[in-house]
Amino acid sequence: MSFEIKDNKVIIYEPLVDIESIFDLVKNLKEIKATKIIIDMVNNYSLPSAIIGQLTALRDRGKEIEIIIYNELIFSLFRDLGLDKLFTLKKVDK
Amino acid sequence: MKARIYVSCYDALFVAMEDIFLQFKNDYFLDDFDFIVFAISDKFHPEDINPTIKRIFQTDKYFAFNSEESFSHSYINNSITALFLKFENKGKISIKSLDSLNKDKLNIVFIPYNNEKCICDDLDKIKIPLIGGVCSGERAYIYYEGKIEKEKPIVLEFDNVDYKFGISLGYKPIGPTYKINVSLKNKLYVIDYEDASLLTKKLLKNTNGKIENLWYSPLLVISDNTGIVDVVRTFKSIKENFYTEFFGNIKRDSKVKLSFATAEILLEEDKKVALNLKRKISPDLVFNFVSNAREFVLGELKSKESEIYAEILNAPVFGFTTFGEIGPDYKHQKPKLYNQSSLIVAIKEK
Repeated sequence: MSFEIKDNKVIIYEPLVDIESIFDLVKNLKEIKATKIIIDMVNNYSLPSAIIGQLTALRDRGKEIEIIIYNELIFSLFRDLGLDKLFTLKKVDK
Repeated sequence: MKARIYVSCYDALFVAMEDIFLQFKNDYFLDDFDFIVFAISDKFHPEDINPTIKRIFQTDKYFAFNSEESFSHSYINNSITALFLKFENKGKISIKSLDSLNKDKLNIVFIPYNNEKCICDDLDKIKIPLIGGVCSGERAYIYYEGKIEKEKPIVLEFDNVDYKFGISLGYKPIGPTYKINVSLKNKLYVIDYEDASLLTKKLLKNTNGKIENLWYSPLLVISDNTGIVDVVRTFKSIKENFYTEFFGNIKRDSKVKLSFATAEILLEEDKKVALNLKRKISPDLVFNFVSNAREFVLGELKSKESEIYAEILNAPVFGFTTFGEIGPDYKHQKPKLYNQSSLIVAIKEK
């Protein structure tokens, strides 16, 4: 299982590489009713653009998005992409 | 100013340079020269270029750059094309760096191309209008005074000349307008909330999958201020599930549209641009910076473009392919990177 959803928290355990699991997560994100969604990247070092796009759409519809990141490189890439202006990025040192 | 262009199609650097030297000597159009500009294919070894020029032409008054294809009138060449210049009045040419520019002179910029680096990042910081292009090839460098420049832009400064320029685009917008949600420099991640790489893959469906197929339908970036096409962006590559890469930056929140053109539409636009310039100047020489992707779309008609310019403007055309064309923005205050364009500068010595 590459991801798990517990209430408003989405835990992504491993990189999503195949299109089926990416769209499975996109579909699940759309169904979360809570106004705040937390994405926990765990050991993950990348987030496909389809998921970033869906999170951006949810944010523009008024949802608050928080992404917990453990990897320095991905944290810095997300900031370079300007995602810190759209979502709350939380860097956690392991 | 007297300008003469010589072309050699030999595959050996020394032989090709010698061929050009002999054409110059046997021509009798110029007794001598003030400056030579070379467009040189990237198939030659960079370390050999400066010594070969010095050995054959016995001069430091030269400037060379890599270009996949270069041309004179309707002859397209993938070896060496050389422009010989002789000023007849007060005209002067010198080589400058970006930090020593004079806005009252004609500044023609050449930018080396390094595939690993995003091109033209610093253009926004420059407050002087520049005209020019990004050298084309796997490794596309600049050569002058015995040096090889692999990263920094270098400027050919023309003093005591009049000039006019024109940019031919010609792509017609098609389909809906999209909004860029997430981008980083020349990489587009999210467009209308969708994965940009996935959208690009959909566009490539029913083709052989080569990104060049999308050069017929580049992305038009629409200006927020004017609502008209600001720049065209050429598709470069796809990183599946992540991004689509372009030959130029696309800012976040930009509005974009796909576009389409045929060779005939592009040539018609070239004619309009040349006729417009003809009303303003009778040039001694024309520089033509042409996008590689535009040449791809022109296909068998690619030689027609310089032929049109030469015939309408009645001047020698020194042309070459580029990985990005640089011209002033619509206020003529700052330089801007264009893609898939044909940019011409018509020059006349005062």
